[in-house]
Amino acid sequence: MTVERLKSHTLRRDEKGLFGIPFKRLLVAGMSGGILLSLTQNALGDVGAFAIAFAGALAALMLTASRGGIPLWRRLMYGVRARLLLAARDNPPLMKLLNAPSDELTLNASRLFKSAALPSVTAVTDWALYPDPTDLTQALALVDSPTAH
Amino acid sequence: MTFQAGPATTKTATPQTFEIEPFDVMMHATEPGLRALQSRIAAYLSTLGGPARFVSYQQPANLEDKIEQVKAEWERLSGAEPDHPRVELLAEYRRFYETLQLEANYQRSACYVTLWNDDHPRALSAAMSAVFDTPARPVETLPPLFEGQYQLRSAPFWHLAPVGRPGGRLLWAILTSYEFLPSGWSFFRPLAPLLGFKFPLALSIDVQKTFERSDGIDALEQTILAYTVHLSSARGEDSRAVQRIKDCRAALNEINAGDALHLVQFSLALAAPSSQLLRQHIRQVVNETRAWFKVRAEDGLLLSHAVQMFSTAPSKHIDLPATTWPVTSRELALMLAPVGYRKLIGTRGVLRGEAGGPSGSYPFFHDSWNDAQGRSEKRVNHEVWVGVPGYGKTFACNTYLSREYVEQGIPFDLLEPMGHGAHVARTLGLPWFVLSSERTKLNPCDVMFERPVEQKSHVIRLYETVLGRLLTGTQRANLERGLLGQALDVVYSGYPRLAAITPDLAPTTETVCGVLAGLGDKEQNRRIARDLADEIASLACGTGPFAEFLNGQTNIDLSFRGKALPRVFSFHEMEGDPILQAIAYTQVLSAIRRDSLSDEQPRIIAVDEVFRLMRHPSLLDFLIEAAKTYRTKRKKLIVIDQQMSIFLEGNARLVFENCPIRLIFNQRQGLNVFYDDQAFQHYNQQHRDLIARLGRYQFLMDIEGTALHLLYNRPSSAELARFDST
Repeated sequence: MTVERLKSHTLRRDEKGLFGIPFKRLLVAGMSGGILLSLTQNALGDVGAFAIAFAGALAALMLTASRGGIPLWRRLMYGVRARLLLAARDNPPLMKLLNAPSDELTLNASRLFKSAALPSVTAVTDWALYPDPTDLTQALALVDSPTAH
Repeated sequence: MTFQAGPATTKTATPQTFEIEPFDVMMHATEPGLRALQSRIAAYLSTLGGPARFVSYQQPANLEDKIEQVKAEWERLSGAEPDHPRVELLAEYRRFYETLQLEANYQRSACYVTLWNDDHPRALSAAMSAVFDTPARPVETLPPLFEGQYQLRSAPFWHLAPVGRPGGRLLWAILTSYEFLPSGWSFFRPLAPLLGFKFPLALSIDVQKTFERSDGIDALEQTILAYTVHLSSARGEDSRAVQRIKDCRAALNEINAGDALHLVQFSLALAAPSSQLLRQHIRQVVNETRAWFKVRAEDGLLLSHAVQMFSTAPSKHIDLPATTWPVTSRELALMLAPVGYRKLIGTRGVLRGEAGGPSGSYPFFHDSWNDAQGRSEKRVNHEVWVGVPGYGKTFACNTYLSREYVEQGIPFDLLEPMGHGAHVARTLGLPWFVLSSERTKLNPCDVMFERPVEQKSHVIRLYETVLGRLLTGTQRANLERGLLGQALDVVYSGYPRLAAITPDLAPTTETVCGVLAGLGDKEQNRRIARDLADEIASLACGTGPFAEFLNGQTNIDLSFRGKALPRVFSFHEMEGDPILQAIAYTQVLSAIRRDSLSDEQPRIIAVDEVFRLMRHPSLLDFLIEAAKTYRTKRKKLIVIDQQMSIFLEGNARLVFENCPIRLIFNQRQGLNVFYDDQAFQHYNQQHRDLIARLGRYQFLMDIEGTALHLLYNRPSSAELARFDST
């Protein structure tokens, strides 16, 4: 029987990292923690700032984890936006504020699955005609009829 | 005035969608066969110039339409003619279809490919037809996944629900692939089991990008370089990196062997009438595919965006995070496996057999009288059936004729040499005509053609068959032909017009011989005429061997004009003489041909053991001409014999060429034609092996330019009881 063993993702460079966590995620978490620490240290003091920085780093680590092949934060964004839109469905001002296209929540089959195909032939007006093939200055062009519009 | 060499402006690629008729992968199910199929598809995929999307829809199906049709016919007929034999048989067929439906779970399948390509659609569909060896036709767009308006629902989990009254509309969920595991893929796993689920399902395989060869190689080499550098500095074991380098090198080898590198993403749309059931379906699909690829159930706005994977919207316009996977063309070829699973195609027409496969058996219905849209066909397709004795040709013929007549009221004429027509006649309450060399008379001079020239040629053909030689080719034969033609002119000139000559008025052979003996303007011609008259008379008049059969008025009514009743002609009482049998076949077919011209009512003319007629050159010409006439008058000719080779030699080939449907039963002897003949060059080794191995009641149904089916003639229990002894 014809069997092909599927290959791993040959275009991706997986990083080993630490404890199974890729290095770039650890870096983002560390950076997030560091920034939060420096932003909150003066206002909250060392203990409070460290707690917030630790929580921020942990949150960054969790939000950058992959869920279904996409980072959790991105997935949450789509989910939260959808929930907001659902909540705003009966609230037109909020809908306007969210700047949501109407077809994001309600799908219209006749619009969604309509043919997107355009005529594949070139329009006659795309062609230039030459009464004399050797004389390029005599080019004629087909134009739309004046009554066409 | 000349045109410029090309358009002055260019346009961006537009989506072009094609419907691909699913084929039967079991027709390729040998290692070399599957390998060849995979190579062919891979070669095509490697040339993809832009994005492509393959979408397969699976819909649970049943035989309700067929059962309803049979029921409606039963109600109509039992009201009008309660004693008609068809009434009882219709009830039997209805029970048969209900039994089939109870035993099985059927699905209907449709496959489409959308290409973003500016080439001419006809060229693209022709390329696809050649690759998949099945028809591909351009269509306007993909069929809609659902109808009306749908909206997102977050509870109890994210799904799409119809807006307003559901009216039978289902809930939908979309799953998207994000990781492919290092498992073995084949044409049978993992997609075939998915197609067997008993709920509506659609699979979209989105080929978002096909790398240029050099770009693909560069990308892979960069991955190899990165991992090589990593490994050179790594101190511990990193099996993942080692495997990645191996995979990249394997992919490079494949690309260097002609493959391309593609980025693909799967989307699965599942439907159910309730959210609880929908969740169950999601679990089923996730469990079924987890060993091969991982899928995520889309939620939030991702769900509304993912639906567009089942439209002709290009991937780059769909706001869906790309979780594509790089695969080579040969791997992608296996992912298109759904096109190799032919399901229940339709229920119009009559049951021709059951197609078996890994995902279950499916009844195959074929409508000979209407096109795919249900419009009446102006021309019907003749059929040639071949198979060694004992493998079910006759049984299949009986069941087919019975189904056409009982279910659709299509009358037929069955010409058979063995006497088993008695079963058909008895079952359907039909007249059974037994032609006997002792009791039956068939006058060769009966009028079968309206034009004198054709009528004369026909009679001369019959006399040539009696004489066992052609009246052409030599000077004497030509003179004989001319004189016989003159004699016929004379005997027919006594009537106002040919059409007025009924069988009881037609001149006899004796009259023709009498007139012929007196013809000739010179002594030499007179002698030739006398000799020919004597020769014919010695065979067909007086005490000649054929006199009882040929000399006299026809005593059997061969006319069916205006009658919708089937007839069965058996020739078993003429078995002793092949010449008489050939003439009898010809006269019956001539009468059918003559009456065919008067209407375009569908009718089937089945001729068993047709070689008995074809071996006489003059009668073969008649058969060729009759086949053409029948076709245009909606009369379906079925010619049946043991060996395909007899239909491929000499002029017999013209009969074969007029029969675009071929039913091939076991042909273990005479298999060479399926290797050598041009007409079977579309067969692969698996097809030929199958033809040699076909069991009883199994056959290959080759519908020219459409499809090749491996079928089992599954009879109803009533058919088995009636026709088993045939």
